[in-house]
Amino acid sequence: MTESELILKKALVGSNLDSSQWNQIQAGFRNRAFFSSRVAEVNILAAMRDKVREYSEGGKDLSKIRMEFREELRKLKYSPKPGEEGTIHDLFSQARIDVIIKTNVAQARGYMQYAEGMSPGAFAAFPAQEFTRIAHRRNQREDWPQRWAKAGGKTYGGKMIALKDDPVWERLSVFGNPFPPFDWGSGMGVLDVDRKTAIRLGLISDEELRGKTAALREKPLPDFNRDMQASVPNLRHDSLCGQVLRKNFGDQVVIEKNTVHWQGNLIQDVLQGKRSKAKLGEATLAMISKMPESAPQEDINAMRRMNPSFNRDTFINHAVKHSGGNEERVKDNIPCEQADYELMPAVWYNPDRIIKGTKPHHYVLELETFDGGFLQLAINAMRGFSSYYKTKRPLGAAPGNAPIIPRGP
Amino acid sequence: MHLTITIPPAQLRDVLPSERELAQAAGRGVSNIVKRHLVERDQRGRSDGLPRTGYYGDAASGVTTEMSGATAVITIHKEGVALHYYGGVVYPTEGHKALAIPKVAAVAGKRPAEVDPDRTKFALVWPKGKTAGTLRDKETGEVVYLLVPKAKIPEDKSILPTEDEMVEAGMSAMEAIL
Repeated sequence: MTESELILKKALVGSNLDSSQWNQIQAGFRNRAFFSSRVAEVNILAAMRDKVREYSEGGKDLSKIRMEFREELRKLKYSPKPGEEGTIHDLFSQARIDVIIKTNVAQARGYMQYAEGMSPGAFAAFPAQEFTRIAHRRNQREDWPQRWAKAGGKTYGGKMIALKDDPVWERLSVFGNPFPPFDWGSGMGVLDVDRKTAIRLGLISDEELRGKTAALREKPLPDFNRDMQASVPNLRHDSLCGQVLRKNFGDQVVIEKNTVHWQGNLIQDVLQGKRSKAKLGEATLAMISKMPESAPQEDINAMRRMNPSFNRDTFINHAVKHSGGNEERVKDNIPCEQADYELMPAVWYNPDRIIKGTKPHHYVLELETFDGGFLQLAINAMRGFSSYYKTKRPLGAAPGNAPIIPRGP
Repeated sequence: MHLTITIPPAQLRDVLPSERELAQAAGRGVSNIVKRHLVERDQRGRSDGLPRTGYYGDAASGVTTEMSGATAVITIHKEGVALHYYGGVVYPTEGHKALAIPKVAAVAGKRPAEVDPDRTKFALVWPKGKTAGTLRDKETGEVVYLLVPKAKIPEDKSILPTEDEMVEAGMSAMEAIL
């Protein structure tokens, strides 16, 4: 898996939580989310994630990425809150964009280097690592030795060294991860320490190392995303943690069988055939308030009670049934990207507008995206989810409603 | 770079590392020496006097090893590293007439269009017949960017360890687990 694939696997999670509140969310669960402090709009997050991906692929410099991201923010009609212009809270500011881009890319790279280092061959040859400065920073923090000691780390000849599987790494990190970055823009990282040195320092014996290597051979590092889902043990809807997650993220989190999922990951899983369906979540007041005035009360009541289910088979069957009959419509459609599918719950929660369809009980919820497209979620007030597609023209300008069939699993 | 590995007899495979594990160790050994080299490079100051950006440190953070069977491919995910290593000529992208080279700290790492999107801050000065121009601050007259039609980047093999050093690092890592 490449780092850009790793970035794209993160679910878009909008919320008004600030960075310290986000840090209280369990690391494993947080790592599976793409979020930014106090950004609730998921279409802005989709644009951000796209820019992070582009930067990680190395084709564009940061200045170009910043300019393009600002342009997309303008298209999405973003403006900073009064009094916050130019501060770190302003998404147009260089400081904020750099933090978003660099931290996300650094986390993906840190994870990849960590996973490679935990392969049986690499671990056997280099079982430990030194915590040290990797990159120069203009204002370097000087308290790292104290933080290292507080996290339970030991020093060897003044060097901060520990085994790669030592819990000190997670305790050291403000993100709760065993891999770099360990703090925002710190420039600190790790360098491998070889087997001979680790044994000489008394970090591990030859026999223990053989045992750990054999264990890694038997049970390799869990898949990044599987680990992210399974890392909240014994969680129930009514537990305190479950309540906090529900309060802060609403239907963006789904708790089932003591496992927490981000909604965006569920949509991806449905599209990839890993699960048969996913619920989009309960109707919101924001959505109901945008129902057209001409909508009958029975439709509004039905929408209010609805928690539509997204089913891959129904979705594809609908696409096959309708796409052939309306070439005009297909011409205006844009193939949905992964982020577009992930935005499906966001279209349901808070569309830009809702337009009544031509058939009874039919409504189309529409959301404009950063790339100039229009996501349209068709809902039958009596039967639930109908179809989902992306077009070049807003509703009313494009005839029909034939969706594009998504790419296979 | 080629590393030749002789596969041990079948009866020894249970006690010796597999071909893949040897490649994992060798790959890690090479990526480690590349990473250390880039970290050391990052400690140096810049020759143009502009503030240090941590460029080579960021490159060190972008060193990854991808396994394909028993082959390890080491990649440095950082724009410009290959250009510095092999050298080459950089031309402006389509629609641009010149490359803009920052001359003051305030614009380091920024394109002119990012610093001055409305084109009100800088004045273009490109004397007739000259091969280079400048963008100057309209208020102070200070040269902010140097404009050139192309830039020649000299080959610099010293940004990476030598091939012998990398082979040695890979071999040592394999020997360590045998």
